[in-house]
Amino acid sequence: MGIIAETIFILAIRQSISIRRIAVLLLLAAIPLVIAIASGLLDADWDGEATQGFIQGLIFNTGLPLIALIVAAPVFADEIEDRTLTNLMLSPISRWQISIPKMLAAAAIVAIPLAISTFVSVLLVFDEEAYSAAIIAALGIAIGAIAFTSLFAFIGTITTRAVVFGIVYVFGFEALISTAIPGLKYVSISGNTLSVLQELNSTLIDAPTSGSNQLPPIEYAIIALLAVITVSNLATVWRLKQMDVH
Amino acid sequence: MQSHTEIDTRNGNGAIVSLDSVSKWFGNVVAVSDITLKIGSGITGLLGPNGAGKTTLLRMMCGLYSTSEGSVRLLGTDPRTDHDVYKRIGIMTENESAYEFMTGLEFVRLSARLKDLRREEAHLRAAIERVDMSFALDRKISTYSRGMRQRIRLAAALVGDPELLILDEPLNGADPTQRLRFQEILHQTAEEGRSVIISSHILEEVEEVSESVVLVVNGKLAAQGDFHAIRAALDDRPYHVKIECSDPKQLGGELAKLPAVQSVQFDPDGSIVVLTTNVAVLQLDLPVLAQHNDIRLTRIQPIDDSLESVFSYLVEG
Repeated sequence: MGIIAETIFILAIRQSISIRRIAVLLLLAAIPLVIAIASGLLDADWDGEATQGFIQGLIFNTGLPLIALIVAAPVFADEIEDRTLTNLMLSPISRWQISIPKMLAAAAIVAIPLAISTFVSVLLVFDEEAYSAAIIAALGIAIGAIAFTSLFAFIGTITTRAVVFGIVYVFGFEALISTAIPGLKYVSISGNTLSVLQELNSTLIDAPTSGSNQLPPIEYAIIALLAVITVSNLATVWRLKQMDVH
Repeated sequence: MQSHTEIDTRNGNGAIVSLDSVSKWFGNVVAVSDITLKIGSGITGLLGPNGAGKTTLLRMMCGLYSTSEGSVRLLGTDPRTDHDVYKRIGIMTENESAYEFMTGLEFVRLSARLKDLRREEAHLRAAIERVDMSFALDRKISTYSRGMRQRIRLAAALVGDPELLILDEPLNGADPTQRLRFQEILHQTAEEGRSVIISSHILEEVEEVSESVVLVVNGKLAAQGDFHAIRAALDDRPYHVKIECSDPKQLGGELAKLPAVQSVQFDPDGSIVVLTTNVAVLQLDLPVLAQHNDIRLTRIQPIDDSLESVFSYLVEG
């Protein structure tokens, strides 16, 4: 990584870790862990449905996109709003060298606390193959974090209301509609991420083979996730090239 | 507004900024309309009333805004596509675009790194010293006054010794001492062979540092060049010349007889204010007239050969 990209990466990390944002981020990331510890203390029985609801519904369909939204949407939107983006846009580098370090910084901030929380939660919840399931779950958080932050960072370049749009998307589509209407998992980042995880560890993700919770095939899921990441980042670069920086 | 008065500012070194039929509109609002100009080396003032389009013009020069029509060349390249040009330029935008959570030193260091410069700490501190901000370099920018923010942003623009400085309303929030210091820095920069484009709506600021100006009014180029030359080109506007002498009454009477003199007024302070359509003829006739009438001239001062008068003639018509 060159000196400018490294500088932008570190700058993005510093911009993202305000005390309030970190508090919200850690609180949300800790929810799965708190539930897992509480269920252990209460000696609760995790059946298959409860486990899948915990992993898929809570962590991948809601927690991951919500945390990604909180971190990634302001990555460009805040800089456009407070006009500090000028400092980066007057750097002697291509626009992708601005967008990629910022996206990676956001993805790291999303993934690290949630991956740790998910890793420990899966260890506590699963009896069989708990360690490998926990590693795969943490890997899934990293994959999903990159896809979601790419999308939300782009949305932050086109509207100052990225968070509002994102909340509707996370709760309306990812958490609700995509799990209720058959076929919509094909256009869900969570759905495609879960498909990859199911391929890697069928104990961790045990989705039905038909109905609204049926996951897309693995080949499709990989292509879909790569497409989301690539198209979102290309769109961000295009937007940075086109925009008038105030 | 007067018709467009164009005098080339280039000093024979070629244009550092060149705009060809540039327009910019935001929705239905035309911010800049069909401006063609070339700016040469040295210090050039970009002048105009608030809302005239100066900032839009500067932002297009810097590549921060696209043009709706026309093309921009900055140091020979298009800044929207050739970002390498930013290594050679220090830019201070109008808004206070500094990171609040950083210290002054961190901000200047960031600016150096964003230009791909691995500067020694001493070099960064020297840039800060140059704008008299050493006393606050370790303080967070959020604690700075507006004038301090401007100065630390100027230090950030200066770091790396850019060959061109582009400064948009740099003296906003600066006190008189800081303004003087700022003028010194601009003169030093010019003496070092570097160029400066400075925008302002305060005429005195620009008049102190540059005689080469670009006047923008209502998004259009009203005039360009040496402001004394622009003033001379406005030959339909008579000059006011203030004269102090040993016998104002007699000299006033003699001056009134000259064809080049339109009117003579006596000021309460004992001086004469002459309105003339031909200041050059007056300059030749006046000493002869004084000598012939045994009058001692103590002061001759053109009182509207200033940027302010040029500006008001062009803006107010």
